[in-house]
Amino acid sequence: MDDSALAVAAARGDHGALASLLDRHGGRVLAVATRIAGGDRTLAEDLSQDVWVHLLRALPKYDARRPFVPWLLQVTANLCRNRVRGERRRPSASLDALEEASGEFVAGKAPAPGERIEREEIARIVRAARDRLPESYRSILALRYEGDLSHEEIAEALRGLPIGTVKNRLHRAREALALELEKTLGRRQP
Amino acid sequence: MNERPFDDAVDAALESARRAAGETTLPPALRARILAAAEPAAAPEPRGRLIDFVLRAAAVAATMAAVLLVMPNELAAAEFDPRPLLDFNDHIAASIAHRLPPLDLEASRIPQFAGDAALPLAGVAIALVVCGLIFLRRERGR
Repeated sequence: MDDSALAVAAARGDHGALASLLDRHGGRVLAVATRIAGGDRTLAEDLSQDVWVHLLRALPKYDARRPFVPWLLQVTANLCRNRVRGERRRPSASLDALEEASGEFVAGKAPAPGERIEREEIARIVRAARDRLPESYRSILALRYEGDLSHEEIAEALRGLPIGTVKNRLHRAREALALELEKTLGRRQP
Repeated sequence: MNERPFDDAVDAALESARRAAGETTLPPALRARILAAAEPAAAPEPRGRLIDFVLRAAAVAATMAAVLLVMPNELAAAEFDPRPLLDFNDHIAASIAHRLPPLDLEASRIPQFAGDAALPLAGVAIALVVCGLIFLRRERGR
Protein backbone atom coordinates (compact mmCIF):
# COMPACT_ATOMS: atom_id res chain seq x y z
CA MET A 1 0.00 0.00 0.00
CA ASP A 2 1.44 3.40 -0.91
CA ASP A 3 1.79 6.36 1.43
CA SER A 4 -1.28 8.20 0.19
CA ALA A 5 -3.52 5.17 0.68
CA LEU A 6 -2.07 4.67 4.16
CA ALA A 7 -2.71 8.33 4.93
CA VAL A 8 -6.33 8.04 3.84
CA ALA A 9 -6.76 4.91 5.94
CA ALA A 10 -5.13 6.60 8.93
CA ALA A 11 -7.48 9.54 8.52
CA ARG A 12 -10.39 7.08 8.83
CA GLY A 13 -9.01 5.92 12.16
CA ASP A 14 -6.91 2.96 11.06
CA HIS A 15 -4.24 2.92 13.74
CA GLY A 16 -2.25 0.26 11.88
CA ALA A 17 -1.96 2.54 8.86
CA LEU A 18 -0.59 5.30 11.06
CA ALA A 19 1.93 2.85 12.53
CA SER A 20 3.04 1.91 9.00
CA LEU A 21 3.54 5.57 8.07
CA LEU A 22 5.46 6.05 11.28
CA ASP A 23 7.72 3.11 10.47
CA ARG A 24 8.36 4.39 6.97
CA HIS A 25 8.95 8.05 7.68
CA GLY A 26 9.41 8.44 11.43
CA GLY A 27 13.20 8.36 11.16
CA ARG A 28 13.27 11.05 8.49
CA VAL A 29 10.92 13.28 10.48
CA LEU A 30 13.13 12.83 13.53
CA ALA A 31 16.26 13.66 11.49
CA VAL A 32 14.70 16.86 10.12
CA ALA A 33 13.41 17.86 13.55
CA THR A 34 16.82 17.23 15.12
CA ARG A 35 18.56 19.57 12.68
CA ILE A 36 15.92 22.30 12.95
CA ALA A 37 16.11 21.98 16.72
CA GLY A 38 19.82 22.70 16.48
CA GLY A 39 20.89 19.21 17.52
CA ASP A 40 18.79 19.13 20.68
CA ARG A 41 17.72 15.48 20.65
CA THR A 42 15.22 15.73 23.49
CA LEU A 43 13.46 18.66 21.88
CA ALA A 44 13.55 16.87 18.52
CA GLU A 45 11.84 13.79 20.00
CA ASP A 46 9.14 15.97 21.56
CA LEU A 47 8.71 17.74 18.23
CA SER A 48 8.46 14.43 16.38
CA GLN A 49 5.68 13.33 18.70
CA ASP A 50 3.86 16.63 18.20
CA VAL A 51 4.25 16.31 14.42
CA TRP A 52 2.57 12.92 14.31
CA VAL A 53 -0.22 13.90 16.67
CA HIS A 54 -0.79 17.09 14.69
CA LEU A 55 -0.63 15.12 11.45
CA LEU A 56 -3.35 12.77 12.62
CA ARG A 57 -5.64 15.74 13.20
CA ALA A 58 -4.70 17.30 9.84
CA LEU A 59 -5.05 14.07 7.82
CA PRO A 60 -8.73 14.61 6.92
CA LYS A 61 -7.58 17.71 5.01
CA TYR A 62 -4.85 15.79 3.16
CA ASP A 63 -5.32 15.70 -0.62
CA ALA A 64 -4.43 12.13 -1.61
CA ARG A 65 -3.41 13.29 -5.12
CA ARG A 66 -0.45 15.12 -3.63
CA PRO A 67 2.70 13.20 -2.67
CA PHE A 68 2.64 12.39 1.01
CA VAL A 69 6.24 12.90 2.08
CA PRO A 70 6.57 16.57 1.06
CA TRP A 71 3.29 17.28 2.84
CA LEU A 72 4.52 15.44 5.94
CA LEU A 73 7.78 17.40 5.91
CA GLN A 74 5.88 20.65 5.36
CA VAL A 75 3.94 19.94 8.54
CA THR A 76 7.19 18.98 10.26
CA ALA A 77 9.04 22.11 9.20
CA ASN A 78 6.24 24.48 10.14
CA LEU A 79 5.68 22.94 13.52
CA CYS A 80 9.39 22.71 14.36
CA ARG A 81 10.12 26.25 13.20
CA ASN A 82 7.25 27.69 15.20
CA ARG A 83 8.33 25.85 18.31
CA VAL A 84 12.03 26.60 17.95
CA ARG A 85 11.30 30.29 17.33
CA GLY A 86 8.96 30.28 20.30
CA GLU A 87 11.61 28.90 22.59
CA ARG A 88 13.84 31.89 21.79
CA ARG A 89 17.05 30.23 22.71
CA ARG A 90 20.18 29.21 20.94
CA PRO A 91 20.62 25.54 20.15
CA SER A 92 22.22 23.66 23.01
CA ALA A 93 24.67 21.71 20.91
CA SER A 94 26.17 24.67 19.06
CA LEU A 95 29.50 26.11 20.06
CA ASP A 96 30.55 23.54 22.64
CA ALA A 97 29.91 20.69 20.27
CA LEU A 98 31.78 22.43 17.49
CA GLU A 99 34.77 23.17 19.69
CA GLU A 100 34.74 19.63 21.03
CA ALA A 101 34.50 18.12 17.57
CA SER A 102 37.22 20.25 16.08
CA GLY A 103 39.37 19.83 19.20
CA GLU A 104 39.22 16.05 18.99
CA PHE A 105 39.87 16.20 15.33
CA VAL A 106 42.99 18.30 15.62
CA ALA A 107 44.38 16.97 18.88
CA GLY A 108 43.78 13.27 18.41
CA LYS A 109 43.53 12.53 14.75
CA ALA A 110 44.99 15.49 12.96
CA PRO A 111 46.01 14.44 9.49
CA ALA A 112 49.43 15.26 8.17
CA PRO A 113 49.48 17.97 5.50
CA GLY A 114 48.13 16.55 2.28
CA GLU A 115 46.57 13.59 4.01
CA ARG A 116 42.90 12.97 3.30
CA ILE A 117 40.66 14.36 6.02
CA GLU A 118 38.49 11.76 7.63
CA ARG A 119 34.95 12.17 6.40
CA GLU A 120 33.31 11.28 9.66
CA GLU A 121 35.22 13.92 11.54
CA ILE A 122 34.40 16.50 8.93
CA ALA A 123 30.76 15.43 9.10
CA ARG A 124 30.76 15.93 12.87
CA ILE A 125 32.25 19.38 12.57
CA VAL A 126 29.82 20.31 9.81
CA ARG A 127 26.93 19.01 11.91
CA ALA A 128 28.01 21.13 14.86
CA ALA A 129 28.47 24.13 12.57
CA ARG A 130 24.97 23.58 11.14
CA ASP A 131 23.52 23.74 14.62
CA ARG A 132 25.03 27.20 15.02
CA LEU A 133 23.43 28.57 11.86
CA PRO A 134 20.32 30.77 12.04
CA GLU A 135 17.02 28.91 12.11
CA SER A 136 16.17 29.79 8.49
CA TYR A 137 19.39 28.17 7.24
CA ARG A 138 18.97 25.16 9.51
CA SER A 139 15.43 24.57 8.26
CA ILE A 140 16.25 24.85 4.60
CA LEU A 141 19.28 22.58 4.88
CA ALA A 142 17.26 20.04 6.88
CA LEU A 143 14.51 19.96 4.26
CA ARG A 144 17.01 19.68 1.42
CA TYR A 145 19.31 17.04 2.87
CA GLU A 146 17.64 15.16 5.74
CA GLY A 147 14.22 15.63 4.09
CA ASP A 148 15.55 14.97 0.59
CA LEU A 149 13.11 17.48 -0.95
CA SER A 150 13.48 19.24 -4.29
CA HIS A 151 13.74 23.03 -4.52
CA GLU A 152 10.08 23.22 -5.56
CA GLU A 153 8.97 21.07 -2.64
CA ILE A 154 11.01 23.17 -0.22
CA ALA A 155 9.46 26.33 -1.64
CA GLU A 156 6.02 24.91 -0.98
CA ALA A 157 6.95 23.61 2.46
CA LEU A 158 8.21 27.03 3.50
CA ARG A 159 4.86 28.70 2.89
CA GLY A 160 5.30 29.52 -0.76
CA LEU A 161 8.82 30.93 -0.67
CA PRO A 162 10.00 31.78 -4.23
CA ILE A 163 12.24 29.08 -5.72
CA GLY A 164 14.94 31.65 -6.40
CA THR A 165 14.98 32.52 -2.71
CA VAL A 166 15.20 28.84 -1.79
CA LYS A 167 18.21 28.31 -4.06
CA ASN A 168 19.87 31.48 -2.85
CA ARG A 169 19.32 30.64 0.80
CA LEU A 170 20.67 27.11 0.31
CA HIS A 171 23.72 28.49 -1.40
CA ARG A 172 24.35 30.98 1.39
CA ALA A 173 23.85 28.30 4.03
CA ARG A 174 26.42 26.04 2.37
CA GLU A 175 28.80 28.96 2.03
CA ALA A 176 28.38 29.75 5.71
CA LEU A 177 29.20 26.13 6.56
CA ALA A 178 32.28 26.11 4.35
CA LEU A 179 33.45 29.35 5.92
CA GLU A 180 32.83 27.97 9.40
CA LEU A 181 34.78 24.84 8.56
CA GLU A 182 37.59 26.86 7.09
CA LYS A 183 37.76 29.09 10.16
CA THR A 184 37.61 26.19 12.60
CA LEU A 185 40.16 23.96 10.94
CA GLY A 186 42.32 26.75 9.65
CA ARG A 187 42.58 28.27 13.11
CA ARG A 188 43.51 24.99 14.73
CA GLN A 189 45.89 23.58 12.17
CA PRO A 190 49.44 24.90 11.99
CA MET B 1 35.79 23.50 -9.13
CA ASN B 2 34.61 25.05 -5.87
CA GLU B 3 35.79 28.45 -4.71
CA ARG B 4 36.70 27.49 -1.16
CA PRO B 5 38.89 24.56 -0.16
CA PHE B 6 36.21 23.23 2.20
CA ASP B 7 33.26 23.38 -0.19
CA ASP B 8 33.80 19.80 -1.29
CA ALA B 9 34.02 18.64 2.30
CA VAL B 10 30.77 20.42 3.13
CA ASP B 11 29.04 18.89 0.11
CA ALA B 12 30.25 15.44 1.09
CA ALA B 13 29.12 15.92 4.69
CA LEU B 14 25.67 17.09 3.60
CA GLU B 15 25.27 14.19 1.20
CA SER B 16 26.31 11.87 3.99
CA ALA B 17 23.62 13.48 6.19
CA ARG B 18 21.06 12.84 3.45
CA ARG B 19 21.98 9.15 3.30
CA ALA B 20 22.03 8.83 7.08
CA ALA B 21 18.57 10.40 7.39
CA GLY B 22 17.19 7.87 4.92
CA GLU B 23 18.53 5.06 7.05
CA THR B 24 17.44 6.52 10.39
CA THR B 25 14.91 4.46 12.27
CA LEU B 26 12.71 5.68 15.04
CA PRO B 27 13.80 4.58 18.54
CA PRO B 28 11.27 1.98 19.78
CA ALA B 29 10.47 3.98 22.93
CA LEU B 30 9.70 7.08 20.90
CA ARG B 31 7.62 5.04 18.45
CA ALA B 32 5.55 3.63 21.30
CA ARG B 33 5.18 7.11 22.81
CA ILE B 34 3.95 8.59 19.54
CA LEU B 35 1.46 5.78 18.93
CA ALA B 36 0.14 6.11 22.46
CA ALA B 37 -0.25 9.88 22.05
CA ALA B 38 -2.02 9.38 18.73
CA GLU B 39 -4.45 6.86 20.19
CA PRO B 40 -7.88 8.52 20.19
CA ALA B 41 -9.20 9.20 23.67
CA ALA B 42 -12.06 6.92 24.65
CA ALA B 43 -15.14 9.01 23.91
CA PRO B 44 -18.30 8.32 25.94
CA GLU B 45 -21.28 6.80 24.18
CA PRO B 46 -24.00 9.30 23.04
CA ARG B 47 -26.45 7.99 25.65
CA GLY B 48 -23.78 8.33 28.32
CA ARG B 49 -23.14 11.91 27.21
CA LEU B 50 -26.87 12.76 27.47
CA ILE B 51 -27.12 11.30 30.97
CA ASP B 52 -23.95 13.14 31.92
CA PHE B 53 -25.42 16.42 30.66
CA VAL B 54 -28.72 15.90 32.50
CA LEU B 55 -26.91 15.10 35.73
CA ARG B 56 -24.70 18.17 35.45
CA ALA B 57 -27.67 20.44 34.68
CA ALA B 58 -29.58 18.99 37.65
CA ALA B 59 -26.60 19.58 39.93
CA VAL B 60 -26.30 23.22 38.84
CA ALA B 61 -30.06 23.79 39.28
CA ALA B 62 -30.03 22.19 42.73
CA THR B 63 -27.10 24.35 43.82
CA MET B 64 -28.81 27.54 42.65
CA ALA B 65 -32.08 26.57 44.36
CA ALA B 66 -30.26 25.83 47.60
CA VAL B 67 -28.49 29.18 47.52
CA LEU B 68 -31.71 31.08 46.81
CA LEU B 69 -33.64 29.27 49.53
CA VAL B 70 -31.01 29.43 52.24
CA MET B 71 -29.69 32.96 51.71
CA PRO B 72 -31.67 35.56 53.72
CA ASN B 73 -33.06 38.30 51.49
CA GLU B 74 -32.16 41.06 53.91
CA LEU B 75 -28.51 40.11 54.04
CA ALA B 76 -27.35 42.23 51.12
CA ALA B 77 -29.40 45.25 52.14
CA ALA B 78 -28.33 45.01 55.78
CA GLU B 79 -24.64 45.01 55.06
CA PHE B 80 -24.54 47.79 52.48
CA ASP B 81 -25.55 51.36 53.17
CA PRO B 82 -25.53 53.28 49.88
CA ARG B 83 -26.28 56.72 51.33
CA PRO B 84 -22.67 58.05 51.55
CA LEU B 85 -22.04 56.86 48.03
CA LEU B 86 -25.19 58.55 46.70
CA ASP B 87 -24.28 61.78 48.51
CA PHE B 88 -20.80 61.74 47.04
CA ASN B 89 -22.26 61.06 43.59
CA ASP B 90 -24.60 64.07 43.92
CA HIS B 91 -21.66 66.21 45.03
CA ILE B 92 -19.62 65.25 41.94
CA ALA B 93 -22.56 65.81 39.61
CA ALA B 94 -23.23 69.24 41.09
CA SER B 95 -19.59 70.38 40.83
CA ILE B 96 -19.28 69.20 37.23
CA ALA B 97 -22.49 70.94 36.21
CA HIS B 98 -21.24 74.09 37.92
CA ARG B 99 -17.86 74.19 36.15
CA LEU B 100 -18.67 73.02 32.65
CA PRO B 101 -19.30 75.75 30.03
CA PRO B 102 -22.72 75.66 28.40
CA LEU B 103 -22.88 73.55 25.27
CA ASP B 104 -23.24 75.34 21.97
CA LEU B 105 -25.47 72.88 20.18
CA GLU B 106 -25.63 74.85 16.94
CA ALA B 107 -21.83 74.87 16.51
CA SER B 108 -21.38 71.22 17.33
CA ARG B 109 -24.15 69.92 15.13
CA ILE B 110 -23.06 66.80 13.28
CA PRO B 111 -23.51 67.05 9.51
CA GLN B 112 -26.27 64.91 8.13
CA PHE B 113 -25.21 61.72 6.42
CA ALA B 114 -25.76 62.02 2.68
CA GLY B 115 -28.10 59.32 1.44
CA ASP B 116 -26.43 58.94 -1.97
CA ALA B 117 -23.08 57.92 -0.32
CA ALA B 118 -24.66 54.88 1.29
CA LEU B 119 -24.44 52.65 -1.80
CA PRO B 120 -20.69 53.01 -2.47
CA LEU B 121 -19.96 52.61 1.24
CA ALA B 122 -22.04 49.46 1.37
CA GLY B 123 -20.19 48.18 -1.70
CA VAL B 124 -16.82 48.80 -0.06
CA ALA B 125 -17.98 47.09 3.12
CA ILE B 126 -19.16 44.03 1.19
CA ALA B 127 -15.87 43.92 -0.76
CA LEU B 128 -13.92 44.04 2.51
CA VAL B 129 -15.96 41.21 3.97
CA VAL B 130 -15.47 39.10 0.82
CA CYS B 131 -11.71 39.77 0.91
CA GLY B 132 -11.63 38.74 4.55
CA LEU B 133 -13.49 35.52 3.82
CA ILE B 134 -11.14 34.67 0.94
CA PHE B 135 -8.13 35.37 3.16
CA LEU B 136 -9.51 33.17 5.95
CA ARG B 137 -10.22 30.36 3.49
CA ARG B 138 -6.69 30.54 2.12
CA GLU B 139 -5.19 30.55 5.60
CA ARG B 140 -7.22 27.48 6.54
CA GLY B 141 -6.19 25.71 3.34
CA ARG B 142 -2.52 25.92 4.26
